[in-house]
Amino acid sequence: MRIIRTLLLLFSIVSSVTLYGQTLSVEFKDADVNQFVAEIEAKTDFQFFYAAADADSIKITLSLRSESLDQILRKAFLGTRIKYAIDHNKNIFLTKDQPIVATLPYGLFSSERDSMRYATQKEAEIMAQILVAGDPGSVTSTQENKLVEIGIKSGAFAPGNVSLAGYVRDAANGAPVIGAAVFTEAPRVNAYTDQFGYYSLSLPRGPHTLHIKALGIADTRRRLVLHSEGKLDVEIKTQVLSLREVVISAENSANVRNVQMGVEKLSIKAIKQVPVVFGEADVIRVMLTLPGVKSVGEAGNGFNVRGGAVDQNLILFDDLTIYNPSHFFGFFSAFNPDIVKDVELYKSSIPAKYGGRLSSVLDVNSRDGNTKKLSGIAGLGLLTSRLNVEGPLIKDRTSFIMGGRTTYSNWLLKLLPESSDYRDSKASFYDVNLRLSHKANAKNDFYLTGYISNDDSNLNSDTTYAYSNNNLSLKWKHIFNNKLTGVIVGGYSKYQYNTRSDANPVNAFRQGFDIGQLNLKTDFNYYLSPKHTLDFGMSSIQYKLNPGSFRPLGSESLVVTDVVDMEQAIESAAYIGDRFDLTSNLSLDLGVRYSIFNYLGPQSINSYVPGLPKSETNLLGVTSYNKGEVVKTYHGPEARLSARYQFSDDFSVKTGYNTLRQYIHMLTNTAGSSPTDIWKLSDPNIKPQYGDQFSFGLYKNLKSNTIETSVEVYYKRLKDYLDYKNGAKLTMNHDIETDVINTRGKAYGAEFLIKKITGKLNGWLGYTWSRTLLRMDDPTAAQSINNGDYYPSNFDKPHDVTLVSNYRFSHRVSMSLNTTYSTGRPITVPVGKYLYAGSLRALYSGRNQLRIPDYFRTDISMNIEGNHKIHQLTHSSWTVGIYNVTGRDNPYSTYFLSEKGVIKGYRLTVFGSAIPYVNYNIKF
Amino acid sequence: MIKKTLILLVCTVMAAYLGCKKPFNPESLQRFKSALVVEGIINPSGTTNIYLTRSLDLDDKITVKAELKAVVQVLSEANTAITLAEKGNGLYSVPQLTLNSTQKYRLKIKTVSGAEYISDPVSVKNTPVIDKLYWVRETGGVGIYVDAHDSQNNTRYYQWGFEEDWELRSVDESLYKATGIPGGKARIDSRDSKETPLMFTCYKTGRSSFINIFSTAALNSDLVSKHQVAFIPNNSEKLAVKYSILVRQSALSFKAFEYLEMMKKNTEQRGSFFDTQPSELIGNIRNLNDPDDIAIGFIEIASVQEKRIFIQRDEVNPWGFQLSCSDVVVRNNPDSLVAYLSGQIIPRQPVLGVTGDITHWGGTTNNCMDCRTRGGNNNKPVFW
Repeated sequence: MRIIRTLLLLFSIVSSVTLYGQTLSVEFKDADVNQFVAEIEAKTDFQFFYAAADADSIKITLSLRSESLDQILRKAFLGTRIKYAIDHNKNIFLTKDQPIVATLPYGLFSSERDSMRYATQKEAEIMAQILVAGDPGSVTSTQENKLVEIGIKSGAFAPGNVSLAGYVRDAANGAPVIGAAVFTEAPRVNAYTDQFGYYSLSLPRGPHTLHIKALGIADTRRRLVLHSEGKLDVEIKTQVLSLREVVISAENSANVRNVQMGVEKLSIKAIKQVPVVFGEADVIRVMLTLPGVKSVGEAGNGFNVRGGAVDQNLILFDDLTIYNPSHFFGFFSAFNPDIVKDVELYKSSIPAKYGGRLSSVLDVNSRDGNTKKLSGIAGLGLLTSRLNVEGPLIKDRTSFIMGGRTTYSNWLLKLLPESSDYRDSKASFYDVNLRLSHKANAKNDFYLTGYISNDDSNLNSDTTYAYSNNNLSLKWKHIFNNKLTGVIVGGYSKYQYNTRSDANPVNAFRQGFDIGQLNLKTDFNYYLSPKHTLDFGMSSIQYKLNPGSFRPLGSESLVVTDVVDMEQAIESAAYIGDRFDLTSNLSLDLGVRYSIFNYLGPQSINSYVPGLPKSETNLLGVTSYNKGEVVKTYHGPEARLSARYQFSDDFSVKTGYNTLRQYIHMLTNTAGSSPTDIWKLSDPNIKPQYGDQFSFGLYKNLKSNTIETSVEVYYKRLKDYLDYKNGAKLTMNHDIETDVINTRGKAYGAEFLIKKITGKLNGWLGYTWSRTLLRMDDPTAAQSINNGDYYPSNFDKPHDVTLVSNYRFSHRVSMSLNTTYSTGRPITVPVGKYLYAGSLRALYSGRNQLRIPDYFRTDISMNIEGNHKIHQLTHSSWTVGIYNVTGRDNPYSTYFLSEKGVIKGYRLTVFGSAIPYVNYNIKF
Repeated sequence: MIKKTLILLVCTVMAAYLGCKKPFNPESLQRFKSALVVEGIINPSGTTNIYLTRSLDLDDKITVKAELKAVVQVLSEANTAITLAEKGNGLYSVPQLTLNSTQKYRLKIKTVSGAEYISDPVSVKNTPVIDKLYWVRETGGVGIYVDAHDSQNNTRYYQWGFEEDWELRSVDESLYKATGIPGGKARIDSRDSKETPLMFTCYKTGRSSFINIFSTAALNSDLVSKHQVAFIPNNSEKLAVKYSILVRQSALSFKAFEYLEMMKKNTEQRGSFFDTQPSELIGNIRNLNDPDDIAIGFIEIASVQEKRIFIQRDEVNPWGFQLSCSDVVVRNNPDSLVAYLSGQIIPRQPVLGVTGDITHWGGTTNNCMDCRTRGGNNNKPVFW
């Protein structure tokens, strides 16, 4: 009984308590703990709580005069495994090894105040009322030590499992907590909350302690008694964070326990700590600090995951496909950091519910608006500023969040001296986000997300590049019952760009490209049994793509309108996955996805002599197809398999094998991917890309899961990846198949990661060794690149070391340091020179035969927050930092020019000096 | 003050932001087999000049290595051959060809080492005349433009090259010169009157050094409007006195256009963040016995249209060209006059004392007194 009472009182303990000056004298010789306790209890009004078994081997010999109780206890148990703690209510707790750790002073949070009663009652009181089955309401639990009873009480617990489900939400603003681990230890049953914060478990009837661990929150637990099927919504406090530790990474032990491998999850909090150029928190650039994620350089859109091309990443923003995640030639990411909640990157095991790209899935989730009160954030930077407003429309049910971001660098460029080359440059962009969340009732939730990003820039040229993403999605989440939930998402994504030039009115033009996709997707989650969790669903995407149009600009223009035929296709898929816990140690994630791609008319398709190069001379004929007619169908299964064997709580081994298909391709012939690269659908002449990856990893956590270490190795193959022929023209090409060649690729590597999640010093250190090689293996290609041998891809950087660290001096001041080193990327350099057209010219032969000098950069930043007084109207914070502290000019590319008749080699640096920045944020 | 600081900061940031370039000299790759370079156009209605050179290693000190003693022939479909005469320095030439415009011709080259190269069969293209060659005074200098058209809409792809000549003048006629006398001394003599004009007026010549091509394929009529062929920046010495440019226009086939465009991208248009990657060039001349040995260059048969214009300095006034001269005064005694012997300064006029004696000799730096030191020559062009 004493022990139970101890448990019940855990939360009311304060470790160092003044004993009101009371002193006493004691004399013990080889006394056991029972005698010791009896003596003290007799002399004082303190009461002891302890487990007799813990203390049975202890003998106490002690002689003290007029000592404080604290001193007596300290000396009595010095050198033993017994720890003690004293609370306000004159209770003394003896425990073995682990002292009862004092939590925050009780009653700090308003939600806890009412439970002060229980501290004095010393008996558990049933807080939640018994629910009648079928009652749509659910219990909301905000306190750790309330005992919650769920379901219909029916005397003794019947054998068998019942399901428990509910939402995990942030108590402050009602936002769902995504990816939280919800589990019980005996028996070991666990689940993760989905993107809505929803979880579902199947548990034996009876008492349980439900543990909740998640990104950005302190670990917490709920005590409950499960009588029958029921719901438990958990509200947790995230403000605790700023007073306790800063959590950088996903769930404390998830990396060991998850079946999936190669998943990186970062909260926006962690993202905001990483210093970036101009101080604008950048989702994409932080991704680049993770092992296995690389880019060609500082300019250019997108990123490369484990040797995959930029177009092989599926970038989702609230289920919407983002075709271009960058602003202003890649210097800014298109995601507003104040809207983003967290970011998840799948680089190895891609869940069966995702498909359509070969290398990775980057899932960017936006936040729900605050359901409790109206609030906002404003940020001012050197080049950009942002404003976000959020709040409830109907309190606790409907909320909105709206954010906007724009740049004023256009105005700054005008200030440059006239002699500067960049005075006539123009850089303007903006993005706008809107998200509405509506909770219709306990079983139905609706989400509406709108997103627009827009760019209109030129860099010292008379051609202006404009591009935009426009997206809208509607999501409906329905809970059929505790075991089955479903999500239906419908959305529309459009990406378009145009370039225009009016320098010479006669030749003034406007060239455009756009791709629109309409998609409908359903995902279901079924908790079959404690051992099996099923995911299944279907999706369909309709593509409409205008590959290119070239039109006159202005009345004087003689440009003839040229339009490449529109393309249409439907990509559909069905999948099923089973998360299967074979034993408590061995878990499998078995998934299969079947995708089918229909290329639709109206279309005219060239056919070529089989076995000969696809070129004008080998053109056999043109076949026309009517509107809606199926021109070509590709289909096939994709396997998504992973397995985990957990040797201990903090050590596991995982392996995975994935196959993927990709029916849409981006064509590029620049080193970094540019905003004017075009996308192309697979058609009879262009086969889908196919890729598979085998990976294996070891995961070990140290120091109570506060340090994560992992090693992952992978081998990946790519087939029918589209590379361009030498001298290919990719825009406005009516017969694009004649300018591209099927390429085979292989990528392999090993990734080492050490991550410290908590504490004053946190961050990660990663080292990657990897290679990415391509080979033109198309027997029908007229010309082969590098004689058909393997050559390194543009982003093949074998060695890569990255350190991301943050040190918290106080609750208000923290400092971040970033260091990265990598091998220089491959470049194509001249092998000779020749005189032609009055000038010496560089002679090129093989692709990517040399490398630019190695890359090294260090950034530092300091975050200074205002005071944390809760009742202030506004809270402000400053971020100051220096990007590239050492000022090293890391070459981005090299080029060779004929200048005044001679060849000169140059290296181009994007950020060649230290760049200081300052950012001011204000929260209201 | 605050605003100034802000602007300075912004400029620093933007300058860093927008990239900077620095010289880059990579280590040499393994030796690449020297390729034959063929430049020129087969002209059906004028002189055909074909230049044969070889590609060089990147670190070779020389800039050109002519291919000598080759046999260069134009082959008809019936394999009748017209052989071009070797003119030295890699130039092979024939004054007049008679080609049938309905036939295709090939260029055949046999090098002294025995390698035989042959071009793809090429048909004869007609080049439309240059409608107008004109200049426009602009803020940065003088732009020279062409207009052309093909009413048949057949040409579509154009190439231009030019030769330019300009006149140089010294600031003053040089009437005196220094002569050394024994004992390490010098005296001033009158200059030979034949030499004085050679030092005062010179001519310089140049030719285009970039690939200038244009396509009207995207336009609804085959019209070239205000296409720039050359640009003379402000203060250039080219317009110090008088300038002339001869522009040559020739038609290209689509393939030749593509080839030259690629060569241009490889060697002229680089240095932005989104350069297309350089790549191998595949021309239309290859080794008969080794199909991988492809010569650099693209052979075309097209007539060449020419036009010449002149520009006088007073037409573009104000033109900022100014010679930078320094004047000196040297005491008129044989020891001091030695200063004029090096030729760096040239005596210009005597300075007389109160008694009428020459007390000093005034002089001026040679770049202002002798136009030949500025790279000029005395070959007055026939058209001047």
